[in-house]
Amino acid sequence: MDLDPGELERRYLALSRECHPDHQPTESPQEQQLVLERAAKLNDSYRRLKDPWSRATALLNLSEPGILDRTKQLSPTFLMEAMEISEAALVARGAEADDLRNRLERSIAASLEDITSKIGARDWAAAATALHESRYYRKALADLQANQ
Amino acid sequence: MTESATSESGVVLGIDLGTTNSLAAVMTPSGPKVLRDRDGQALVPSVVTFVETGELVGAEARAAAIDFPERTVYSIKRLIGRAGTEVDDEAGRLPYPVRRGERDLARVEIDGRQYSPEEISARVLRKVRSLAEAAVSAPIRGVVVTVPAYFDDAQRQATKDAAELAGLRCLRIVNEPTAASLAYGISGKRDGTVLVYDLGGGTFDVSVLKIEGGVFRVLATDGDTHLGGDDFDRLLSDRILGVLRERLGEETALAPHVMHAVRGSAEGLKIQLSSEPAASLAIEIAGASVELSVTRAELEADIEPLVQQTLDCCRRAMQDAELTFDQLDEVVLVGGSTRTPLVRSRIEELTGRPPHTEVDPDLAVALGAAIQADILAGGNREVLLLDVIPLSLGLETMGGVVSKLILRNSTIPTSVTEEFSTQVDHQTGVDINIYQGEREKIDDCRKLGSFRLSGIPPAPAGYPRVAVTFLVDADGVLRVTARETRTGQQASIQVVPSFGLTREEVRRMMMESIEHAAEDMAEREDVELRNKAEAMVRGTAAAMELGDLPPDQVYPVKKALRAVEKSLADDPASLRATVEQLSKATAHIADDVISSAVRKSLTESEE
Repeated sequence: MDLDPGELERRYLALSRECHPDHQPTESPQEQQLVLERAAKLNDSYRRLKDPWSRATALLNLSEPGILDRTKQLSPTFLMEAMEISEAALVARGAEADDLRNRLERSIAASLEDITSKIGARDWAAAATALHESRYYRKALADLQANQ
Repeated sequence: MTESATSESGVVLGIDLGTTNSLAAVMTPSGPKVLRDRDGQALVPSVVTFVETGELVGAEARAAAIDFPERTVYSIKRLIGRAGTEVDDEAGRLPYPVRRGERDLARVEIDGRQYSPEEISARVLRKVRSLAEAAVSAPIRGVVVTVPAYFDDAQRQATKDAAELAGLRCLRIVNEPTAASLAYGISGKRDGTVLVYDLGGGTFDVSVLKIEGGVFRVLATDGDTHLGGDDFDRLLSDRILGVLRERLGEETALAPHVMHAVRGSAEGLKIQLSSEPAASLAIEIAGASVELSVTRAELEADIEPLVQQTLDCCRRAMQDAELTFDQLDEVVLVGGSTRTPLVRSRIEELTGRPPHTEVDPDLAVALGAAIQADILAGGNREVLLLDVIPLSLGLETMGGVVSKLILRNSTIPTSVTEEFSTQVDHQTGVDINIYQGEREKIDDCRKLGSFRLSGIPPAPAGYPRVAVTFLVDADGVLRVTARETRTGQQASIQVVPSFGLTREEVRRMMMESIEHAAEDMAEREDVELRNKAEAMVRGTAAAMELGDLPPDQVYPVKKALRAVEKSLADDPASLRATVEQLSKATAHIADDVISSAVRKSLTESEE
C-alpha cells in the first residue's frame, strides 16, 4: 500500500517504452493484437495502482479473494451515521458545507491510513470493512462538491 | 534524410487533414520539414469542385468556388463520421447539397450522385499525396493522419477509411494537439507540463500533457468538434448581412450573389481585424458600390461567447488532469484561428502566462505528425507518445442507461473485459449496443454501433458466459473480441457501425477509385516529367557553365534548353516534346559531362 508515486510513475514510463505498440513494429495481425493487449494491460494496471483506493481493492482481491464480498455487511451504527452524513451532504450550504467538507476530508484521510496499516498487518477483513466504509465518505464528499 | 523516413520502399509522411487546409511533412536529419509544391505552397485547400470536365481539388477548387458554389465541397471534416440528423444545422449553412444517405449518413449530392465525406476527404488526401510525391521524388510508404483530439470513434474510423480510399497506408491516427506538442517539444527539448490550445478552421481541442525524458503523456483532453474559425467568419458575415438588410431591405441583401460576396470576404476581413482596429468592405449591389466598415471591437463582441466556450474546455481539461493553472510550465497555441487577438489575450488571462507561438500555428500539427511517422517507421526510439481516449465508452443496460466501460482520459491502448450471458433458454446470439459520451442516458450519448454475438452454444438461460473484450487501440479506435468462457470457444462478432462506412462499402469505393487510379497515374507521370525536366535544365546549364561543351554544340543546346524552360509552365504534352529535343541536342555531347552535372543537381535537390 505504501508506494512511492514517483517511483511507480518512473517504472510505468520505462515499461511503456518497452511495451507500447509504437516501439514494437509488427507485421502480422496476431502479433499486433498481442502487443496491443500487453500495452493495454500495462496502462490499466498503472491506472489501478496509481489511485490508492483502487490499489487497496486490487491488493485485497489478490491477497484474499472474495474478502470484499464477504465483508459487505456493515454495522448498523455505521450505516446510521453514514446516512445522516449523505443526507447532510445533499443539503448543506455555506459554513455548514465547509464544516462538513473538513470533517469528510479528515475521515477519508484517516480511513486511508487505517486501510494502509491493516493491509500492512495482513488483517484483510478489517481492511476490507474500512474500504467499504470509506466509500460512503467519498460519495458524500463528491455529492457535496457537486452541490456547491 | 534519415534512413527510416526515406528508404528503398518509400517515405513515411505526416498529414494534417484540416477543415480548411491540408498539408504534409516529412522527417529529415535536420528535423521535420513541411513539403511544398513548385511554387512554394504547402497548404492544399481541403476543397473539391466537381466540374463537367472532371474534378478540381485544392487551390483550383477553391478558385472555382465562386463560379460553382453548389458544386464546390469544403469543410467536409465537419460532416465526416456523422449522421445526417446530426449535421442539419451545419448543412443549412453550406452552399452544396447535403443529403441523408443510407443508414441516415451525411452525404454530398452532386449531379445525382451521392458522395460520402470519406470519398471527398480521400480526394483531398490524394492531392496531398501527389504534392508530397513530387516534393520527395519517392513513393509514399505510409502516413500518419491527424484528427482533432475530440474526434470520437466513428470520426476516427472514417478518417482511416478516407486514407485507405486515397490509396495510403494509414500507420496511425494521431491527435492534433498531441502532434503539435511533439513539434514544440522536440524543438524545445524541455520537460514540463504543457497546455496545447488548438483552434482550427472547424474544430477546437485542448490537451494537457506532461513531457518527461522524451515521453509525451497526455493527461487530459477536451474540446468541441464543431467550433472553429469558420464560426468566427460566419458571425462576422451575419453581422454584415444584418447591416445590409437594414440599409437595403431584406430582398436585396439576401440576394444569392450578395450573400456569397459577404461570406467570401468574411475571412479576409477577420484576418485584417487581427492587425487593425477596423476594416472596410465594398460590395457591388445593383450596379452601385456599397461600403461598409467593421471594427475589431464588434467582431470581438460577436465571438466572445465562443471564446468563452473554449476556455470552459480548458478548465475542464485541467480539472481532469488534476492540475491548477499555476502548475503549467508552458502554453502553446496551434491552429490558424489562434492568430485572433481576443483568443490570445483570453488565454493569457486564464493561464497567467504568455503563450508560445514560435512554430507556425498552421504547420505545427503536420510537423508533429511527421515526427510520429518517423517513430513508427523505427527511426526514433527516444520519443514516445502516450495519448488518451477523449470520450467515455459504455454499454446500453436496462432502462436506456449507459454503463461506462472505459472512462474518458484513460491512456490508450486500454481494454476492459465484460461478461455477458443469455436471457432465454437456447439463445445463441446477444446484441450489444455501444455508446460514446459522458451522459447517463443513451439518448444523450452517441451510438457507435451494435455488436452481435453469435455462435453461443445452446444452453439454459444464464448458463453461457461470454467474455467480451473492448480494446481501444493506439488510434483511439475500438476493437471488440469475444470468447465463450466455459468452452473457450471464440464467439463471432459482427460490427454494424452506426456511422461511417461498413467494410463492404470501403471495398466497393476502393473498386470505384480504381478508375481514379488512371488519373492519378497520369498526374504522377506529369510530376515525374516536370522533375526530370527541371533536373535536366539545371544539369545542362551547369555543364555549359563549366565550358565543357564543344563550341558547335553550344547554340543548339542553348536553344533546346530555353525551349524546355519556357514550356515548364505549359501542358505536359508540349513539355514532353521539348524535353525530348533537349535530350537529342545533348545526346552527342560526352555523356559523362552532362550526366555528372545532372546527377550532381539531382542529389542537391534531394535536400
